[in-house]
Amino acid sequence: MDLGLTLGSLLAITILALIAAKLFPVSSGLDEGRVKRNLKRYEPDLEFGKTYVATGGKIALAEIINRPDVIGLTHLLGDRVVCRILTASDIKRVHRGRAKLAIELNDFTQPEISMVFPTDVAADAENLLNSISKPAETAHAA
Amino acid sequence: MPLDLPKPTEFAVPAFIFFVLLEMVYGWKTGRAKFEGKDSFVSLLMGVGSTVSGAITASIAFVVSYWVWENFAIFDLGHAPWVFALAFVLDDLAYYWIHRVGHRSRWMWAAHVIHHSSQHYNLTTALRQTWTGQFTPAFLFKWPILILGVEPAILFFCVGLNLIYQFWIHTEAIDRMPRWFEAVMNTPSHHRVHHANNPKYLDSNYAGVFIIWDKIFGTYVPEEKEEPCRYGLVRDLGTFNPLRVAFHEWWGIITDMWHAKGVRNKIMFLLAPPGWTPDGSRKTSDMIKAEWRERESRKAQQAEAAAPSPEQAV
Repeated sequence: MDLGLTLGSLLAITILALIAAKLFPVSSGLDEGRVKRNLKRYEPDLEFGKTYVATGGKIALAEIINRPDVIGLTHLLGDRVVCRILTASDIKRVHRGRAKLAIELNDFTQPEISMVFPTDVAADAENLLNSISKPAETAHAA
Repeated sequence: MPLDLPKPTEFAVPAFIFFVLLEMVYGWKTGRAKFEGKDSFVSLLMGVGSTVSGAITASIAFVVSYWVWENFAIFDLGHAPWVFALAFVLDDLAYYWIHRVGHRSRWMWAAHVIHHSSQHYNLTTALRQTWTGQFTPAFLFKWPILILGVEPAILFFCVGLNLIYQFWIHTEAIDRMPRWFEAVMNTPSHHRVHHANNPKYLDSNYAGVFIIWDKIFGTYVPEEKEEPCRYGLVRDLGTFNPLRVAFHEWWGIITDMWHAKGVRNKIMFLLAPPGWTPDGSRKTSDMIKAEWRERESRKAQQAEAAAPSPEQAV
């Protein structure tokens, strides 16, 4: 292992990543169509109902019509969508702040997801989350 | 005295960087290649990490390989050019089986999954390599080549050439190569199928250099225009944190084994295909493919039922 080559490689990859970010900016967030399309790809047998896209367009929750015991979660990672179908056992804890919802998940690659919903859908989004998360697991954020 | 051969991958690093940059500019101009800054950074960082972790354990691999060769080699094949050619082909055959088992057994998948964890498919994906390949039994697949009589230095040289070959096939910028080339060699088209998470394409095209291995062993699936490849894992990662990317499947194995009831289940969590659980609560690729086939068959039946009968058509 050559230290010079390793350090040179680190410098080169940083420059390449910066060029990639400049040439390929992430422009679009999540919307209802994108959320449903991706969740359908992820779980084709499920029927998705209402979707709640958090402010910033990076996180969304989705109701599942034919499986009321689970909900859909999508997360925009860079320019790609990461999907999960959450059951009660996937959720460790829910923190509810004034406008913010934070979910701690049993998921090594996304252990915590925070979201702020527009006021007109915040209550509905929280109700959807409540439908699968047990009240005992709820903690109020400071 | 071991044969002193150059390390092909070290020479190739500047070329890798040049071609990544070239593909980026080409993709920016034409839209035929896509990148994302953080994704590219993680892929390239995994590549550097892989080189570092490989270097740390290189001396152990070197000593063990020479021990096997010196003590168990059946023939003394020497250093003639034909030995290099034979070693290259046999190494590629061994690679096919390592790669196939790497997708079908969670122990080896824990190391290999890193290479599939990007939802992008470009030349940076080629460099998104594991940091933990040494902690799998992959090296055992190469021992028959040493036992046949190929000196380890020649084998390591061929491994380097094989890795370099596989760099250029990680691109969407090249559609198809000439027919004769597609028939024999691994190409961007064949390898896009391997990286796709469409149920139709799962567990196919394991080849390194020669696609003929997939054709011989029944794992070849051609790329189809009507089924565009979608890249990544069946359960994509939700992070760009390189440590979580590098170790997520190992962590999954450890926690599953810890909570599993009975020795059999613990061992199965290590050796069974990724997604295996005793109660079937997660999905293996076989289960995903079976569900897909069922959906396709339902769709075909519905289409048939909806189509007018010959009498109605006239």
